[in-house]
Amino acid sequence: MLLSVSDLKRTYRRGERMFSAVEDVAFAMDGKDFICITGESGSGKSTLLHLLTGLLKPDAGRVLFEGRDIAALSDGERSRLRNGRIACVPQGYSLLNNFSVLDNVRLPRCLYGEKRGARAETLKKAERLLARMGIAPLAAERPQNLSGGEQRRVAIARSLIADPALLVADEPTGDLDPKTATSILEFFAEIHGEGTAIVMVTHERERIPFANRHFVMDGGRLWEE
Amino acid sequence: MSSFSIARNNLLHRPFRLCCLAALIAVTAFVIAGGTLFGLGLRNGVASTAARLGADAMFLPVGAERNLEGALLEGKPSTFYLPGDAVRALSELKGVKRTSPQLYISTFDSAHCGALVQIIGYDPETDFVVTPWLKENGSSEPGRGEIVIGSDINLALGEKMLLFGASCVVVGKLERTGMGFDATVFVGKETARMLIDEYETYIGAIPMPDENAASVVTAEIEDGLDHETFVKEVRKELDGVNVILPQAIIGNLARNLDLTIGVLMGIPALLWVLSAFVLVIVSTITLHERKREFGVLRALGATRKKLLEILLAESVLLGVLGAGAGVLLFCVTALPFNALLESKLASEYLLPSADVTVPVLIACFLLCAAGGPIAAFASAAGIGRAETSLIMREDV
Repeated sequence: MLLSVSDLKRTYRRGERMFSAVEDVAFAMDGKDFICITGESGSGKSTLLHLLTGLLKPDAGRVLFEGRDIAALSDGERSRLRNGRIACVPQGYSLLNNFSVLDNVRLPRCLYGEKRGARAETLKKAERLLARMGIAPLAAERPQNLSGGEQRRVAIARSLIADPALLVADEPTGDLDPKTATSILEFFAEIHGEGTAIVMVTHERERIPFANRHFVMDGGRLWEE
Repeated sequence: MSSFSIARNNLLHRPFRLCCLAALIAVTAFVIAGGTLFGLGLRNGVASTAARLGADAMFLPVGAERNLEGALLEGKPSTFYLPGDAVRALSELKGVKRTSPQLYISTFDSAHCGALVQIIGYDPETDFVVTPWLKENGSSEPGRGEIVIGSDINLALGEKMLLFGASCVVVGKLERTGMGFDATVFVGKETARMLIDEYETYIGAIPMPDENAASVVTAEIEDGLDHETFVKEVRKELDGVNVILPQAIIGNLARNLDLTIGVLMGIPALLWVLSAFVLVIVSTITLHERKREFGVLRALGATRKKLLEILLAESVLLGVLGAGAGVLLFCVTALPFNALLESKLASEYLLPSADVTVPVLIACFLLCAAGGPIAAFASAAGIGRAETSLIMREDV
C-alpha cells in the first residue's frame, strides 16, 4: 500500500467558532492509482492534500505513506519526503520569479545541495522534462513572462524532477482554457501509465474520466463514487 | 545551487530594495567608524598630553597660568620668570622629592628669528620630564648651540634655525604629540642662557630677574602626599608662586572633551539601533510579501531550517555589502581628512595609530554586518512558526 489514511480530522478557528475542514476521512491507494477528488470550494480538498503531504498536521487520525506515519516524522524527514517520494503541484501560481524556468524545474534537486557531477545530470533531466511538456524553448525565460498554461506545465515538470512515487496536484487545471487543461491531464495520464500514483483535486467534474478512482468531498467528508 | 546562491538570486531580483538597505547599513558603518575614530583621536590627544607633561606638579609665577596652558597645549609662545630665590625655596619645600627648572622663551616675528616658536630650556642634570622623552625618541641631548625640535617645525636634522640672531643646529626631531610641544624648540641650559641674553638684547622688556631664575619648576611629589593639601600649602607659604597639577590641566581638557566624545559615540550607537529597527521593519514587511514563496519552498521540500538559512544568507550578504561599502567609503573619503583635523584641533586631537584604526574598522564592519542577520532573526521567527499550509491556503 502506497498511502493509507484513517480517521483523519483537521479543524480551523474561524473567528470565535471552530470549523471542521476535514472530518473522519479514510481511504487507501496503491502505486497504480490515479485518484481524482472533486468538491466545491471550501469543501476541504486543499486541506486534505496538505495533510497527505505533511505540510499540515492532523488533529486526529493518521496518514501512512509507505508504512510511515507522516505526522510522527520530524520536520526534516517530512521535508525530505516532499523533496523525493512525494511531489506537490501547489494550487495557483507557484513558480519563483527570481529564477529562470530551467532553474525553477531543477530547484527541488538543489535544496539539499547537489552532489559532485550531479549538476549536469539534473540540468539534462530538467531540459528533458521541459521538452516533454512542450516548453523547452522557454528554459531561459523568467516565469512572469509565461502564460498561465505554460507556468502550470513548468510546475508539473518541477514536480517530476525527483521521480516521485506519488504526485499530489491541487487544482492543476484551474483557470486554464479547456484545450490546455486537457493536454495537462493527458500528460498526467501518461505519467500515471509510467508508474506514478496521482492524487488530484479539482472542482471540475469533466476531469474525472482521466482518473481511475473518483472521490467526492463535501463539508470535510470524503467518499468514493 | 547553495543557500548563498539562492539568497544572491533573491537579493538581485529586488535591486532597489537591495541598494536602499545596503546604503542604510553603509551610512551606519560610515558614521560609527567616523565617530569612534574621532572620539578615540580626542582621547588619544588627552592621553598624550598627560603622558608628555610628566611631572606631578609645575610651579610658575602667579598670573602665568594661562601662558603655561597656552604653551603646553596650543603651542602659543610666551616668556615668564620665577625669581631665583623662589626656585631655590621650591627645591627645599616639604613634600617635594626632586625639582628641575625650565626656561620658557618666546621667539618673535622678525628677521632675527626663523619662526615664532616656544623655546623650552631644561637642565639635563636634574631634568626628569624632557630627557626620558628625548631618549624614547632616539634624540641626543642638545649641546651648546644645538636644538631638538617638535614635529611641526619644518626643518630636518643638521639644518639650522635662527634664534635671536644665533644659528642653532637641529640634532633631534620629536614625534608628533598633538600638543604645543610640536611647535616647541628644546634646548639645554647653556643654550637657554645664551638665548636669554640675546632675547634681552633685542627686547629688553622682560629682563630675567637673576641668574637662577626659571619660568617653570617641574617637581615630583613624595608618595602618599595629598595633592590638594600640597597645593594649598604652597600657595600659603610662597608668595607670587602658583602650582599647577598637570592632571588638573588634563582634567579640564578631558571634561571639555567628554561631552563631545559622548555625542560622537552616542550618535553612531543611536544610528545603529535605528538602522537595526528599520531593518527589522523592512524584513518583517518583506517576509509577509514573500510568504507564498516560502510556502512553495516548503512544498518542494525545504525544511524550516533551510528557509532560515536562505534568509540568513540574504541578510549576511546584505550586511557584508553595506558594511563593506561604508567602511571602504570611510577609508577613501574620511581618513585623509584626519591629518587636517590634527592640525586644526591641535592638542585636542591625535589620529589613532594603525594598530588601533584597523581593529576599530574591522569591529565596525562586523557590528554593522551583524545588523542584517539580527534583523532577519528577529523577523523570521514568525515565518518559522507559521504553518505552511496556512501560508499557502487559498482554498480549504
